[in-house]
Amino acid sequence: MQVLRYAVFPLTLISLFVFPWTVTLLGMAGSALVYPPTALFIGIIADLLYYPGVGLPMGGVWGAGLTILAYLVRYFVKTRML
Amino acid sequence: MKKRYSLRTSGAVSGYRSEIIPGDVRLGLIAMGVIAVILVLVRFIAPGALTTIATPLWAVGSGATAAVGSTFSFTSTQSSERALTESHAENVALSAQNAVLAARVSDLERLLGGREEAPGILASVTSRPPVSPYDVLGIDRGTSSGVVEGALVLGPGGTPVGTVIEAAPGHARVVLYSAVGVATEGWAGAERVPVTLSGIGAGAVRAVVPREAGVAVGDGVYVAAAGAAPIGTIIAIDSDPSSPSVELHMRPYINPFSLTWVSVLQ
Repeated sequence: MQVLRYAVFPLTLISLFVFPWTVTLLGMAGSALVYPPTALFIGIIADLLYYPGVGLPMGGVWGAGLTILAYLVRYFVKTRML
Repeated sequence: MKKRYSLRTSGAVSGYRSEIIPGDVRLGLIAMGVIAVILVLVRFIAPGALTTIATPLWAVGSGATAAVGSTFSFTSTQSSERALTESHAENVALSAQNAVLAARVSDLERLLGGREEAPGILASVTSRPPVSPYDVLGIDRGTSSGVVEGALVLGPGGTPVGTVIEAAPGHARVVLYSAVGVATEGWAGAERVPVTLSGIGAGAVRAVVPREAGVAVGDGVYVAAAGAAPIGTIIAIDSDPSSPSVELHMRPYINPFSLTWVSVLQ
């Protein structure tokens, strides 16, 4: 289980090049639960690789959203609200 | 002996507040921030460098997914053979039809005057949707091969698929007509009604036309490329009785998820 916790971040980085973006998004969510800023980091990497310059940079948007959500979940769990 | 009272464990009692961002998390944040800033700088100062690093990874990814597709098959041998036979027959019929059309084109060119077509630059697709979250292709040809920004990109059969948005010496990126936020001027239907095609992602395109335009399901959609080149057909029309316009939904001829080669016009 500990191995999976630390493997989810590098696996998500690899999935940026191998798997469909939906799998990467799931990996970002899982990685954010372990260490929240990783979701924003992976989102930024995805935009650096693929963002075409039109429309919203969804990688950064999703990454920021998942990071904030993960911090909120951690806060609520820590304060025993969840 | 009294146990030393720890402020960290008694935060709720003594009112001591723990750090908002613990020290180890702060270190990780700083490290990731530095890496992200470096990559952003590399992206804008030397965009080819990032693509050069990523291209072998994309190649591994494409090879791995292709191997998985051929290793695990849920269809029986008989059904595969039947599908192959049908494909052969369809191929023969299409080849014959192609020959007829080529002859007709040749006749028309002799009648109207021939035209030299600019040769295209054949490029291999290194990254494509759905790995790419945007409808963007990465190709392995760049400015050193004659690829320029804004060049038209054709898929199999000469069907336009998009335009080059970024070109580095050895690589380039192509934005498809179906990318979100991309608007392309084109035509729809037999009457060539002018439309603005809006990409909605995953290879899909929509357009809004007046109800009186007379566009029907099954009509073609065209973009400007050596005249009017067809890029797809209309598969659905959404109409609201209270609205003077209707929404067209188009299915492209080319599946962007399976593009392996494209041709970039010079």
